[in-house]
Amino acid sequence: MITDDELILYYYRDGLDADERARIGAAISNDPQLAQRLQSLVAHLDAAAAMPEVPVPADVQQRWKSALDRAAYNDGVRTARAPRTGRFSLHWSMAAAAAVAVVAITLVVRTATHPSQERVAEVPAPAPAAEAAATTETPAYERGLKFHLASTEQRLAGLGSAKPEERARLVETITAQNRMYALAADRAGEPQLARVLRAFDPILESLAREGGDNTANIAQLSFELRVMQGRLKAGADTPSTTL
Amino acid sequence: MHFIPTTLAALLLAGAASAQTVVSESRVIQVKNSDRAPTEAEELSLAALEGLMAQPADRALPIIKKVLAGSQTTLVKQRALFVLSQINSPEARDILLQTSRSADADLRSEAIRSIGIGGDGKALDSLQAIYSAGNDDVKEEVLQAWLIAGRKEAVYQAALNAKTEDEASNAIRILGAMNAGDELRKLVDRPNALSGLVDALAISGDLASLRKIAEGSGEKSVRVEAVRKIGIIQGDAAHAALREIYSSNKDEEIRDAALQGMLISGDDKGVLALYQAAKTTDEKRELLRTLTMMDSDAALKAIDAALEKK
Repeated sequence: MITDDELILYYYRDGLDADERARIGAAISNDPQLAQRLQSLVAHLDAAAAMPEVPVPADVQQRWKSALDRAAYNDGVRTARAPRTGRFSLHWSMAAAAAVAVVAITLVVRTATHPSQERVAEVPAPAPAAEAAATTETPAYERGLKFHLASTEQRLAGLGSAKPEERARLVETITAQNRMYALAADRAGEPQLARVLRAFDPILESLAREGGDNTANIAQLSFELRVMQGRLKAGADTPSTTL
Repeated sequence: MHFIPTTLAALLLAGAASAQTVVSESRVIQVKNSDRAPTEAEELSLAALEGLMAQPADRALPIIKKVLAGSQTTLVKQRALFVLSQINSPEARDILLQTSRSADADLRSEAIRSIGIGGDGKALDSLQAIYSAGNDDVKEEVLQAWLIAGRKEAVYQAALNAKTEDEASNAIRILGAMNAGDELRKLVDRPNALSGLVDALAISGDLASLRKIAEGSGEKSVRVEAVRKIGIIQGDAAHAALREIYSSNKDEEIRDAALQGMLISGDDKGVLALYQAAKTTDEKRELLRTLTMMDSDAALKAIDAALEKK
């Protein structure tokens, strides 16, 4: 039995090792009902992400953030996973996953680029000590944005081997998620990030018009996604000089 | 990827040397650089450009300048401009501005886009002159840059000062994409509202503004279009508006448009109510046809009732 949690992790290419991914991927290919469940979960996540932002109490945010950081830590020291014994109901599982996704997006966008100037290369670099220390929430940011940029790059790389109808669906999904992240960045008061994500939109639309089959567009997007990932990485390594 | 700057520069220059052949080949087959995937030689240059993101800006900038001034292909230079958009320095902005006036359409286009991504107010303002003097392609590029930067006012001004209907419609379409409700509403108050505006209002779900156009004194074709497009807006308020417009108008075109709007919005109950209230056979026949096209329970009920009477 594959749980909703596992399906969500599979969809976001996160938190599963290669064997688990292969097992779930094979199961989805062979089981139309499971594929439908995955689609339904993704639709719920997208719908939840499109909901207007509501203020979340600071203590709740902190609790969610701790949970995310714990999950990140557990990824690093993953050992054999014990089988799950308890399960949420589908409703609660989806609601929890959606809430975590929305909060994660909001948190990562809010914390990642704050203040905006830190994310933009400066000449000359001032490197004040306080800024060099960076925010304490950097891991959450990196996790969230990497998740979007890296998964988009992976999906683009996989377009070539996909069937035409799968390609079209994948591009549609990538476009919708990119808009969601751009919107989240705007709402989080991070214009620099929002602008870059918005700039991807016309290329994605052009790609969609051609059924996901335009190597020039894919190459351009892949390059720009890698540049953005490079910026994030450089920011983590040397925050005072490059970002 | 942690190249040292000299290695990056060497890689980029090496890429330029092998790119000469690519440029001449592309001229022969008349393929624009921006319309193709990078060659192997260009891939190396692009990898080097990506590596620049790991470098401090004051080291990366001279290398990017060298790439832009050198003999790299247009495709590599375009990507260099994107990298430049990520560097927050006056010099980087100057280079982008300068390139936005370039005679090379591909480089100009990418520079304008990069100005949008960079988001510098002064650079975005300077696009105004480029927009005014530019052809349709340039205007579209500038509008896209303002969209990326979220410059609603600049796009609004472009719509307001447009010299042709196409130009206005393009700006209005961008305003719609920006969800610029206030700016679109301000355009409604202009005499002779444009059809592009009707589309943007429908997409943004602005029922009040559409109704204002529909019931105004502007060009009739635009008013008819506004009535029809109310059908795109779902919900009880839009349904009620269309029923009222149908019932309160004597103009056949407007009534037809209202009926089409109800068809688009799937308001079978509304059409049934109008059918039941219709006083002439012609009107009843027209409404019954519409109901039939809607393929609903209400349609069946009306058909059944009409046949029973016979």
